[in-house]
Amino acid sequence: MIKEKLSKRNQATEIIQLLREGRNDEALILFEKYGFRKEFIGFAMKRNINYDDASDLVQKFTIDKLYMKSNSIKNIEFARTWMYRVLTNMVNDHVRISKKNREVPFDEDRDQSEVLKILDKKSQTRSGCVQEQLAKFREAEPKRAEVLDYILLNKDTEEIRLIIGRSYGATREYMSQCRKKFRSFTEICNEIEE
Amino acid sequence: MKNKEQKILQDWIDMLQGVVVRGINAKTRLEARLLRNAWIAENKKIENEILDQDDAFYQNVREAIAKKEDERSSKYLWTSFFENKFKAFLIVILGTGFVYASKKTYDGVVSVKDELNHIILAKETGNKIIENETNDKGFWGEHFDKHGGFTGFWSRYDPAKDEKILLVNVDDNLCSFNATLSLENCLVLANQYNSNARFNLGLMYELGVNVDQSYMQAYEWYKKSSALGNEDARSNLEYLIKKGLVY
Repeated sequence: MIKEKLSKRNQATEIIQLLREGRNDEALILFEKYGFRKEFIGFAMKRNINYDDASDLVQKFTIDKLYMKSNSIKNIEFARTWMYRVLTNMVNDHVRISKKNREVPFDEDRDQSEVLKILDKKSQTRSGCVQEQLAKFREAEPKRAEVLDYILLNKDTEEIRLIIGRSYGATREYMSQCRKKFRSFTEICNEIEE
Repeated sequence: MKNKEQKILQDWIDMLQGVVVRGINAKTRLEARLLRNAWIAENKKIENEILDQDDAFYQNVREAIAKKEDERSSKYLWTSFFENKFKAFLIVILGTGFVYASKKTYDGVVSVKDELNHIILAKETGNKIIENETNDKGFWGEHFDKHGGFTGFWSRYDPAKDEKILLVNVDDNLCSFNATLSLENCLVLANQYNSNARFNLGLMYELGVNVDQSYMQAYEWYKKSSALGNEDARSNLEYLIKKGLVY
């Protein structure tokens, strides 16, 4: 597990180093090979951004941030953390702007059949219920859902601490709160038997 | 209690990250397992929407990077100086030093005036000498005043030029150090706005040459001369004040 974590970190560091040396093509090949494009697009899509927009966002991130600001990263060992922090800010900005420009209110736009499906608990499994509650949790608590993502992406507390900009103790406390908050969302699923 | 909570949290995190944990609370295990499964299912769903090979993505990125590199190379000459803070600091210090040094070299006598500067030599009042003086002004004299203030490239103030026009009809050195320095002749020229004649009048009154000595009169004539831009008159004026000869 530790090896896996380290290798993920090293991959990002390798890309940044190549960019600093001016070997852009090689860096882009590794960016695809290590799956950063898919990972970042997926990360953006979890915030209800469609594929095209998410792809554009990651493209913009690659050019404006990764290529242009690669020299400004202080600690190159935490390059992946820096990437996630910058990308998160970009995604948050995008979501905020798109919500502002939205003509139809958010709740009215939602597909009613999906809502009915959630209400009809007996017709689904417990894991399906958790899956839907996760989607709900993302909408209601986007920042906490992000922290859940970081945990599930095998990031350790130190990395998460650097991304969300809190102290070590505060990060642990925040993670604990995320767990409890998510548990309150999944309480309705407890009634469903597997 | 706190340690127990921390242990539960750590177990939950480990479970989410796929680490095999023993002795974990069954409820926490189930919670974590369900969340992990839900997250993996969500990921799979999203991954299906993402293209495996997106050439357009990298083509756009490459084009944009090439464009940015062109822009950067053209700006590199200027930006490279200021990328390093030490370099920028050095450039500013050297630049300031150069400006200060060049200024000091040009008018060292005027700007570094710790000692009192008293001129007791009468001046020429003819055309020829004034022309020579004006030609020797240099860059600093033309665009900066005595205290180093920038007067502007567009400044119309040019005392030497005005004097030249006024002195066209003057016959000769009627009030020079090699002439008699008579009061009448000097007054004629002084009334024609000749700064050197006014300076000579001030000097005559100060030293008592052909007139009764009067520091007040000298002060007045030096003042009038310096109003026309005569630097020597100004320094003599300061001399009178600092020595306490006028009140």
